[in-house]
Amino acid sequence: MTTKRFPYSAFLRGPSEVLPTLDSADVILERRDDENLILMRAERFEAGTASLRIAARALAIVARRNACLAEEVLAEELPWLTWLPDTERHECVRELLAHLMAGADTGELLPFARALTSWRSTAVIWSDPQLAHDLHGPFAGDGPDVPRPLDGS
Amino acid sequence: MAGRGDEVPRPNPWRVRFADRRAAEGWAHLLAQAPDNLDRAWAAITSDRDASTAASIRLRAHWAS
Repeated sequence: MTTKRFPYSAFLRGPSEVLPTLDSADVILERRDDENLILMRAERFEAGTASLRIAARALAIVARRNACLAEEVLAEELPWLTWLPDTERHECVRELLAHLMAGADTGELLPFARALTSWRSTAVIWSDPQLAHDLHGPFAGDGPDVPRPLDGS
Repeated sequence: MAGRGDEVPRPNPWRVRFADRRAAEGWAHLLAQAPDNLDRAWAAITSDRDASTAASIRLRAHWAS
């Protein structure tokens, strides 16, 4: 299944231009000032969430019986883990697995997705020694103020 | 004592400061390229620096703030 992108304003002007696309694709409605929206048929949405929940529950069962194996499986799926120092790598895998298990239980997978993004960005910093060096504090905090870009708006 | 016509300052803002010259140069570059987006970022950062949203997710472990 492909995705097609439309401006949100086009959808508001005339939904009939966008809706036929849903027969063959999911639709991303692009908003200028806010998060994009996704439009899809209910059957596809329900299929996606149900499948994801089953997969997460299956991994949760494995994790309860064999925590080490579950961590290995997750680590294999996330190649950027290699950039994290050892202690952070273990912390990351444990946290992601805990979110995944909680998500499988409740159906709420947003905390898992946010933790994933958070840890991936953290790993990317470790991958670049110059960036890691630049971001390494402490910062004096006595530089000049950054004014509001569009002052007066 | 402020009076009629005086500017009303933001009650409790976070302040953004340049860490060094390179940061100021980078900021000027962003301002030239995407002023509206930069303004929204500035407003978001100074309103609630701890916000965790789809567009603002905190780093972890060593880099957590």
